[in-house]
Amino acid sequence: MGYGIYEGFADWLLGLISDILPGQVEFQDSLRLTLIDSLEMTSILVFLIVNTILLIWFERKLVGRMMNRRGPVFIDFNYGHFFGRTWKFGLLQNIAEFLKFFSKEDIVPEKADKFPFNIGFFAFVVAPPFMLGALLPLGATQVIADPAVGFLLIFALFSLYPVGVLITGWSSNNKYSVLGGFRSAAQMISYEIPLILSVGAVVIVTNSFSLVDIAYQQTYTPAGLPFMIFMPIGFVVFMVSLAAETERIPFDIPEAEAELVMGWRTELTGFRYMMSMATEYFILLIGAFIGVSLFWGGAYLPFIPASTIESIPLLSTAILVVKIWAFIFIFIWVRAALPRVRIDQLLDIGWKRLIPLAFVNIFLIIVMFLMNPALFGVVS
Amino acid sequence: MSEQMYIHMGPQHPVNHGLWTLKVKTEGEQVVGSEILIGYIFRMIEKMAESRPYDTFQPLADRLCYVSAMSWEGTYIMAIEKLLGMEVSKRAQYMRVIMLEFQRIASHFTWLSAYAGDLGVLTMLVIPYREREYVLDLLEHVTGSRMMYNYFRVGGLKHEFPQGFVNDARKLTYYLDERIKEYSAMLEDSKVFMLRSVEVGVLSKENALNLGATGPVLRASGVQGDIRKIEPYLVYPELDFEVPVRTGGDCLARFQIRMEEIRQSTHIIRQALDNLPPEGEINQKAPRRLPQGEVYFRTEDPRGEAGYYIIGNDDKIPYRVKIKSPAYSNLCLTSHLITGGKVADIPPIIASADLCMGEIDR
Repeated sequence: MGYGIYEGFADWLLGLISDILPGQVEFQDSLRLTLIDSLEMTSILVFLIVNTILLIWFERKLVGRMMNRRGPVFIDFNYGHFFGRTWKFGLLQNIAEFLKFFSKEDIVPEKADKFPFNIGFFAFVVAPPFMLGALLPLGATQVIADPAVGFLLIFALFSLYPVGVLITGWSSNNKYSVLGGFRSAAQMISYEIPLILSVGAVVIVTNSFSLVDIAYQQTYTPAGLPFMIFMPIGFVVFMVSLAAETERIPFDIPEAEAELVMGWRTELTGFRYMMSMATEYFILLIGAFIGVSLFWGGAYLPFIPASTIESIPLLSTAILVVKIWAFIFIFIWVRAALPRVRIDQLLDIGWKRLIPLAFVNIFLIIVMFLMNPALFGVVS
Repeated sequence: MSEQMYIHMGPQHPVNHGLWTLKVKTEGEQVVGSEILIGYIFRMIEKMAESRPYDTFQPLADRLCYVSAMSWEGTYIMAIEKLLGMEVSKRAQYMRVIMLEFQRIASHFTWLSAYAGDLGVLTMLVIPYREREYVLDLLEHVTGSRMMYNYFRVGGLKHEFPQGFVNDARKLTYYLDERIKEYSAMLEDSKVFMLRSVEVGVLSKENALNLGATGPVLRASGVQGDIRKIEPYLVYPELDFEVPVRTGGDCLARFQIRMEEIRQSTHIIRQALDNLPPEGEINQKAPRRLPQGEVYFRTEDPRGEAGYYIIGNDDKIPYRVKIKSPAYSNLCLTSHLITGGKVADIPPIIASADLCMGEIDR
């Protein structure tokens, strides 16, 4: 797995420094490697944070339009006045709100259990999604860590999140929060199973847990078509489970604002609340990363050879970004269209519909795989 | 989670569309009991009616409910007219019907957005308000106010319709008919909406009658209880319309009843606009004193049976005024409906009863 553009950028940076510095400068190899690593980490972090902020803006704007509103309008750069209107899109709205949240007083409820309320939230709710950043491919080849267990590790880190939600809800000593926390725990645990089962079919045909490998294998299928074409049931199960895992409408039961005020977030204020909301969008972004890599062919396109895409710098990253935003668009669209289901109906859907469907999917894929492995890009 | 606990929903809670408290006794997600506490916005409306000349109470009757002000002032005025034994002209009666039916449409749109918002489909929280705004624009064009109309008068109405009103109103009814189709496509064709509405908060016919349900809630349980049909007032007998009745008794039935009532209202308005007599005294002189005697007059409010019981004492000031609020009747049975259900079913059930705290607390 090559480092791609980071290597070139690090070399260019080092060359620049040696040109500026007087005399002959020799750099040690370790310095160069450290520079490459830190460039990678910075880029993935910047990428994720910028995309999270843009994602929130995108959702507000899009849902606003679907609701016959405009969404955020005012807080933006001054693009000037032309074509008969003032062009403003509210791009800086979220930044302004983040600043506002940070300037607020940090309130820990008097009756809350202070230790779990503080530790549980930051250790289990906020931290795990950020750890996931290291495992995400930022293009065809740019990835910090590509361990053999790949997205198994991602799901393991994902499953820490409901623990944190439960701890936060319970320790804030509020009835709404407790109910929300328990709902969240029940929902996450029952939807993790169909989520992993739906992914199981992909693992069976690719024999790999690595997001990069799985995306790459989809270039070997007939015409380079993504796995979504060959396993539609699995894709649907994955989408529904992911909506439940990210607690979005129609599955935003843990924070059902109609009856539970704000669910497990009721006692979170200021930057805690901001972090919890940002984490939710962060998880949606990561879910989109996984979905795009597993089912939509990652950074590759059908009909175009992988070598062509890899040869043009940043093209693979651009493809990935476009796919991720298209993926997220589906979730936003669903949010604008559907009501919220009830917790017992949600568990019914999970256990009685999605899990059998996921098994049917695995069975079908195994049969298809045995009949024609070339369908899934395996050259026998 | 098996121990019982009380969850306070209110006085400040998103489930309450108004200021009241619902104390819910829960066992996990199961509701085992509930208690309703009201009285937060008691304003002595009935006492105010008993302490001023009868014609000056009419603007205050507007304040009974902030979503259907017109029907409350209309009911009061018609009750007074019944006590006085006055007969208003046909033209004024047709104009009253048009205004009352527009008010019913506006009220049902408010209800629809509240119901959809409680189910979590926020798009339908915003969009019915757009249509309601067109109706309110029309009412404002006529009366000069979006909310507190003060348009009815003892003996008729304050003034004529403005120029061009008939055309605008007719155009609007066709527009609203189109919109209603869109709402049905958005909600009734949605599987998740049906999951949340069908068999939720079922009110049987016996319970509906025993608990005193009224209006759309009663009709959703299979009882035709529309005052416009069973005890006609104004010119409703001359108009052709149907009263929708469903037998489901659940939230879906109440939703369908109200959607159908909007369609029927637009139908009524078109007929009334067609039949509107061109001539007629619309503001007769009214006597100064209320005669000796008592009267109970009821109309079909958007929420059900709205009534005034008035005793006159040969005086300018009514001796007694008692208001019968349909939302109050329906509030009492929500407690019955939510018990035994899930916590998550509380918002749709309460929203489907269409409560308005202004007229409950009075």
